[in-house]
Order: sequence, then structure tokens, then C-alpha cells
Amino acid sequence: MNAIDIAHLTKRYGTQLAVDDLSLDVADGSVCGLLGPNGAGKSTTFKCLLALAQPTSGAIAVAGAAVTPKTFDYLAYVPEMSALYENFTVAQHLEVTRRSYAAYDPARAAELAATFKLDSKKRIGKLSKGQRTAVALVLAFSIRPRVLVLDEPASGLDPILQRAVLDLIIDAAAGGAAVLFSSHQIGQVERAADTIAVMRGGRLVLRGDIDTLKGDEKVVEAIFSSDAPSVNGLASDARVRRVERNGRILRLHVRSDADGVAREIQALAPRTVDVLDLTLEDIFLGAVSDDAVPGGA
Amino acid sequence: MYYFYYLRARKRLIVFSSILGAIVLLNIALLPFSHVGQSDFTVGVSSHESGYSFGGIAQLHRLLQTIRIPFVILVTIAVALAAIFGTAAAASLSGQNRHLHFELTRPTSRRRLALTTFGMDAVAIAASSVVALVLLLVPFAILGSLDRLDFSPESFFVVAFGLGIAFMWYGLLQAVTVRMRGGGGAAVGISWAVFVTLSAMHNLPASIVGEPVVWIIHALNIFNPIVYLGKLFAPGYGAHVTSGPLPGSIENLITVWIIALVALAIAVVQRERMEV
Repeated sequence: MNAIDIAHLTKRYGTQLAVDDLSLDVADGSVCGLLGPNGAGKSTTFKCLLALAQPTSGAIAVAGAAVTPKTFDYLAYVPEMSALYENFTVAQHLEVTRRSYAAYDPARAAELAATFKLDSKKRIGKLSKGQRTAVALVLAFSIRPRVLVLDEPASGLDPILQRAVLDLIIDAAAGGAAVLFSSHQIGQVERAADTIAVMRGGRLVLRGDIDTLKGDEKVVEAIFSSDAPSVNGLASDARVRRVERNGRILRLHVRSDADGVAREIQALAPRTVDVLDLTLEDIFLGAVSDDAVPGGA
Repeated sequence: MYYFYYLRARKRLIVFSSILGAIVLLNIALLPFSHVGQSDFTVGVSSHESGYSFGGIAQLHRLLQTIRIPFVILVTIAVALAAIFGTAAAASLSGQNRHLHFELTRPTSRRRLALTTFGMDAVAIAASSVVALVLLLVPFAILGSLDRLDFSPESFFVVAFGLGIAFMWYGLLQAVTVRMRGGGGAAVGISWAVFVTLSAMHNLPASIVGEPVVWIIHALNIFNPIVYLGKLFAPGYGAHVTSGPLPGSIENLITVWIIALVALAIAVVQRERMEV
């Protein structure tokens, strides 16, 4: 059974289609990175998942059941923007969490507060954006949740604490939790996630295991002395999924026979030609580019 | 979340008590310099008619030995102050709207969160009336004149009616502001202006504004807490408090409580349906 099951989710605001027929699942013990440009529908997806907004159609289940207030006994959420009470202290927020959750672990909360160097006597209003995110993370992880939904969880944190957050995510998944998180920092997703889902214009345009996606394609990158020539013949070649020309750089996303394609490029007399492994950034940019094929994976 | 609601309600009550306490203390401090006449305590009989005219604490004490004061007057003032306190708390659901990602992702239903908010505020409003009453009694205690207060059963009616007015005002504001992301406090301020204006227009003659306008004003004033507060402070009220008709009828009492409960129910339903 998946911890999170989203089936054919559609959400409209008036005439605006925010999420369009999205299906997504996250298994126990796995981390799914949700990627997409601004306005792709990630936050709306989170809102529907958390019952903060009502889906227009589709079904959402967490741990096999519809989302109710009881779901939040084991589902923790960290929003992108702080929703904490500015006039109350960190300690008072911890106290509210203690009173709300049977699973609250005070030792864990203290350990996490120390990790993020939080002063429990400080009012939230006196904290920086990063510190507020850290408080939200402490609250979320202190209940040892079975499901974690994190919207930009490392936002505003310094690189050391960003690493700590990623370690927390990986540790939680290793302990059996399902994690769905969004981030604009692809490096974070690459480090923490097993699978990615890429949204664009409210639709899921790519979904899959990161290693598999990376293994699927190679990039043939050629740099020319002057503007890169057009390669119309290769653009329609079955081996090539996409061609990018950017000044002197020619980049081809190749499904198969990357070395053969590189030899053909070599005939165009570039300064250099390299066959590169695909990065997650390449996969993401390929999925959200204008010529990307929806549901390409 | 109850802990936050409790802390917020407690803070409001402390601020209210501090302000009211400061006003009472200031009045006590100014007593030695004040001029006191009997008409200050009995309605319809001026100091000239009664022959009393005093200044300072000693005179006030002597005056209090000669008259009796209806306790219900103090109760009326206390519940009116509680109604004012209630408006200060009345945008509490709206105030939570900037925190909904935190509030609504707890293992508690929206209905329960809203009802708990109302419960905490209701306790605070009731407590504010008690605080106000106690503070109003302080000067009498200092003057050793508590025994000059005449308790009457009408006090219970005034408490029920006055708190009904407070909760009606509170409920109406909650119902109007529950979806507002900001400006709940402004809505509270505007409600004062609207209700006072409607109240002032209540007796406009139909010959000037027309029958339909009068009808509309009267209909709107059914929901106007200022009108009901006016009934508590009706002219000549102190004179008839122990024998005459009650300030406001049972129908008024039932009306304010029904409006309060319906308004709060509307606020809860809106909260349940609200999208973030």
C-alpha cells in the first residue's frame, strides 16, 4: 500500500485549471521530489493532498484512507511560507505540538532544536525566514510522522542546515516514512529523492526513478568556434529526443547510440565533443521545456 | 491549538483588566478632589432637590450612609463593558487565517477548532464582566459601603441579556470576518460606526425618510447590539429597577441569543467550507 495515493486529481479555480488529471503515488520508505516551475501546480497539489482545498475531481488517499483530521496524527507538513504565530515563542509552539500529538517526542524536539540552533524563548516574529522554517521542521519531525509533506523545506537555510534537512529526510525515509517534498534546488532533490515528479502547467510531465531516468539518456555536447550549425537531420533522428542550440553550444539529448551520434557531430568540425551523463537538471529542464512531450517517462 | 487560544484570550483579558483597573484607580485617586451630589446615585432626584452636595471621600462616605444603590446598575455597566470586550475578541477566526497552514494540518477538525475558539472567547467575555463588576465594587469596598448596595433578582436578567448582547455582537462579527485574510480588526471598528449610525436613525420619522426606509432601518436594527444596549440603559432605568418593567423584554433576550447562536453557526459552516 502506498502512503500517498493521488488519482486523477483535477483542481479548478473558476476557469483556471491549476492541476490537471494528476496521478502520483509515494510508497512507504521512499522520497519523492516534486519539481516544477513557479505556477506549475505544486502548491495546489499539496493543498488538495492536505485537505486545505477541495479537489474538483479525483481521489486522494493517505495510508489508504481519505484525508481527515485523524490523518494528521501521522502526517506532518511544512509549508513554504511560515504559518507560525509571530507573537508566540518557539517553546510555546512546541507546547502546542506536545498537546496535539500523542507521538510527540520531547527528546527528539530538543535534539532538533539544538541542531538548528534555535532559542526556544524567542518569539517567532523575531526569527529570520530560515529560522522559522527550522521551527516548522522541528515541529514536523518531533512527532516522528509516517508521512511528510514538505514544501521547500530548506528554504532560507544556510548550506550546513540545508544538508541537515536533507539528512533528516533521508533518515525519515530509512525509518519507513514516505516523504513528498518540493524544491527549486535540484541538487537537494537529487541528493534526497529516489523518485521525481515534474509538473508543468498543472500537468505531470515526467515521473520516474532518478537513476532510471538518468540511465535512459545521454547528452552529446559540442562546442563550436562560431555559432553552432543547425542539425535538422539529427533532430528528426529516432535516437535523438531533443536538440538545444545556444550560441556556440550544441546539445543533443540522445536515447541510444550516443557514441554514434557523437561521431556524426564530429563531422561538423566542432572544437570539442563530449558524451555526458544526464543530470537531474537536464532531466528537469528537458521535461519543462516548450518542446517536451507530456508524460514522457 | 487550544493552548494558543487560551493564551490569546488570557492576554486580552489581562489588557482589558489593566485598562479598566487603571481607570477605576484613577477615579479613586481623584475622589478627594471630587464634588459629589446625591443625584449622582439616584435617578430623578437632583442634589438641589435632595439638599445634598458634598465634596471628597468623607462626604461621599456620609452620602452613601443615607442612600441605597441598586446593585443592578453595576451589573448593567459590567455587562456593557463585557460587550465592548467581546468586540475586541470578535475577529479571532479571521486572525487565524494567516496561520491556516499550521492550524488546519493538526489532528483536530475545523469545527472543533472554531468551537474551541468560541468557547475560549466566551469564557473570556464572561470573565471580563466579572472582572468589570469586581472593579466597580472596589470603590464601595474602599469606602466601606458594600452594604449599601441593594441586590435584586433583576440582576440575573440583566446578566443574561447583557451577555446575550455581547455574544450577538461577537457572533455577527465572526460570521462576517471569518473568511477575511486581513482587516478583521478594521471590520470590528466599522461595526461600531455602522451600529451607532443605524441606532441613531432608528427614530427617524417616516414623514421625512419614507415608510420603506424606516422599515429597513427597523429590520436592520433587529441585528443591532447598540439598540439592545440602549434598552439596558433606558432613561429612568434606575428608578424602576426594583419595581417597574424590566429593561428589555424576554423577547429581546431570546432574540439576541438566537442571533448570537445562528451567527456563530454560520461562522462555523463557513470555516468548514473555506479553502486555503
